Order: sequence, then C-alpha cells, then structure tokens
Amino acid sequence: MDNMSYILFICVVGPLLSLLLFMERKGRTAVEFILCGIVCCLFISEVNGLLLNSFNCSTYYFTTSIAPITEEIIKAFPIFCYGFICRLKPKEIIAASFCVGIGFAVMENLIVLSQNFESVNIFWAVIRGFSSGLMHGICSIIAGCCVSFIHKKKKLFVCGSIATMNIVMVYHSMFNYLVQAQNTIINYVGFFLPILTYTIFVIVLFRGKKLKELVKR
Amino acid sequence: MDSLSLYSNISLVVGFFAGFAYGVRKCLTTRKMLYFQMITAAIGCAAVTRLYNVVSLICVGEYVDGFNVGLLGPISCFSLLFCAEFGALDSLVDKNLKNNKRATIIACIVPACLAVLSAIIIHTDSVDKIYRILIFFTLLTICAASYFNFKHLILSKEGNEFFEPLRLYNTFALLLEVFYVLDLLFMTYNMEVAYIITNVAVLIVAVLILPVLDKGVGKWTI
Repeated sequence: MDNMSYILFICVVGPLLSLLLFMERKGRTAVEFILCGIVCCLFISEVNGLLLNSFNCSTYYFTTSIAPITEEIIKAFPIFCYGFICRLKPKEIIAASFCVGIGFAVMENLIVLSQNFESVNIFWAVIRGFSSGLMHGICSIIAGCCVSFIHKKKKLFVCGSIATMNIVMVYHSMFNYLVQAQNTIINYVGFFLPILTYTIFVIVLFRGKKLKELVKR
Repeated sequence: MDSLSLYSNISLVVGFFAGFAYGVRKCLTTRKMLYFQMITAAIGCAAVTRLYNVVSLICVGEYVDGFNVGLLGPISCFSLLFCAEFGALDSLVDKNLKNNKRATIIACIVPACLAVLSAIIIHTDSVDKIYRILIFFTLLTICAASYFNFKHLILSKEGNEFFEPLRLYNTFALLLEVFYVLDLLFMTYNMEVAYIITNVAVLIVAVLILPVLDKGVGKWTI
C-alpha cells in the first residue's frame, strides 16, 4: 500500500491530539514534542525517498552516509525553534528534545514494521524498541544539551551547535553501520551501543545529582 | 595502509576515551567551569570520531571513498576547542595591551603554516571533490583553534597572571592540532612510518591533555 505511512500517522496522531486538550502544562508539552517527532519522521521519510532517487548511490551508502545527516537536521529543527522562542531551563529543553527523539522513533518503528510485516518477530520488536528507539532519543538529547546554551552563552552557541550536530550525525551513522553489518556479532554490538550510551547517561546524571546533594548537605 | 589505520585508530579510541573519562569524572566530582567542560566535550568528540573510523573500517573493510559522515567528527572536536578559547576565554585574556597586540599578530604564524600544509593536502589529485571540501572546513577550524591556542601561549605575563597555569595546556592543544594536520598529510601521501609516529604522538597528547588542563584550571584564582 503506497500511503501506509500516512495511515499510520493518522492512527497515532489522532488519539494524541485529542489527549492534548485534557493535559496540564508539563504533560502537554511532552505530548506536543512527541507529536513533533512523529511529524518530523513522516516528513523525513518523504525527503529521504526523494534524495535516494536523486542521488546515484546504493541504499547501504545512503543509510550510512546521507540519511543520518538529513534525519538529525530535521529532528533538531523543532528543538532549536523551541529554544529560540521560549526561555526555558536546560532541564526542560533536554526533556523536550528526548520527547522529539522518542516520537520520531515510534513513527519510524511503525513505518519499518509496515514495510517488513511478513518477517518481523518479538526479537525484532525488542531490538527496534530498545536499540533504535534509544538511539534517536540519545541523539536528540545531545542536540538539546547544546540548545540549552542558546540564551546563556550566545558566543558559544553557534560553534557549539555545529559541533553537536556533527557529532550526533557521526554517532547515528556509526549505529547504522553496525546494525547493517554482515557479521552477527557486530550487529549485536550495534544493538547494545545505544543501550550502553543510555545507561552511561543515566549513571552520569544520577551520580551528578547525588554528588550535588551531598555537597549541599 | 588500511590495517595500519585500523590498529592506530583502535589505540587512539582507547587514548581519547581514557582522556574523556578523566574529564567527565572531574566534571562530576568537582564543579568545573564551562571552559573545562567544553574541552572535555571536544575530547569526547574526537573519541567518537575515532570509534567511527574503527567501525567503518571493520564494516566496509577500507576507508569510504568520497563523502562519509566521519569527516564531520574532527570539525566538531576542533570547533569546540576553538569555541572554548575564543568564546569562553579570549575576552578575559585579551585586554588590548600593547604586548598583547604583538601576540595577536605573531599568533598568525601557526595557522599560516598549517594553511600551507592544508593546501598540500587539498591539492592532491587522488582525493574526491566533496572530501576536499570537508577537509577544507576541518582545516579551517583547526587553523582558527590553533590561532587562539598559540596566542594564549605567547601572551605577555603582564596583566595575565591568572592565565599562566594554562600555558602547558595550550602547548598540548596546539600539538594536537599540528599532529592532526600531519596525520592527514601522511595518510594522504601514504607515508606509513611518519603516520605511525604521528599517531603515537596524538595518543600521548590525547591521554595527557585533560589532566594537564585540570592542573592548570586548578590553579586559577578567578
């Protein structure tokens, strides 16, 4: 079916939109950014389709070298806009950026599921859910960390955002290389890379908080 | 050259991640200023870039001809180094004193030398057009960062006493930038022995740069 991604998009976005009216400010912001991520994913699926047709390259080269760039730029766009318009605490921007990443991952998983409906299984779901999903979340968090400096240190923001976006693209591309490799062990390394990165993020944040609390006492 | 490159990149991944882990640990245990955090992030970027090189070499078996995302990594690393020197420190250091003006001009020597080396790298016929463009941007950020590192290294003592402890760090940062350009040059021209020597030097700098910076920043009284 040609317009399957649009069908999935309506199925997911419809209930979430109706939910928005009944939510408090913080919860509503989270749902709004999940919706942003879903819209970004739909948009990028079209853009990537056009680019794949226009570039004379293999799908493997495209997914490892071009798709990470387009996906990360589009995904960072709502976070940058949000950072520019609203003066928020870094914590709020980072939370919003994680929501964009997760929304993006949800929609991407649905599109991939619809394309490979015959061959998927529980293992596939675990991998897509915990590996690819987290990877998008982590990439967005890193972009969000940079956006949190937008009003604080303008001199640092431009260079910092270039650096952050570049490294996020490199990380995304590395993940794509690993999960598409011919060797199963390398595939597993790819699957566990975002989980490992996420765990490190959580440990570092948790330890940081704990240490700050100890200093306060 | 590819297998040599693989092993050198693996050793550099270890070196850069060791440096990065040291920086993160210091940021968590003692409240470090943004300047230190940015340089830690730059070393982290270098570590991820080297890891990407390892992954692409293992998965593809050779360096990807033409454009590949890994070329964006060094841009992040050196733009963060530049950003830390220019954005976070230069306005504090440069107070338009007469001696500082001299340093501002003399500091152009290092980026000029690096620009000449860069021209040699870019003008090779064997490399792809898009690769050349990306290398150009990488070398541009390296030149910009090296300008400020060298400037902060040769600034007069007068009025910049608080900056004294950072001179050793600036030497290390400058070495990292010079070695990166040399690394690219030797790789482009397939000079294996020189390539190995440069990589060993980069490895030493990668491990030592953040401890040296930590020692320098620790002496700051502002």
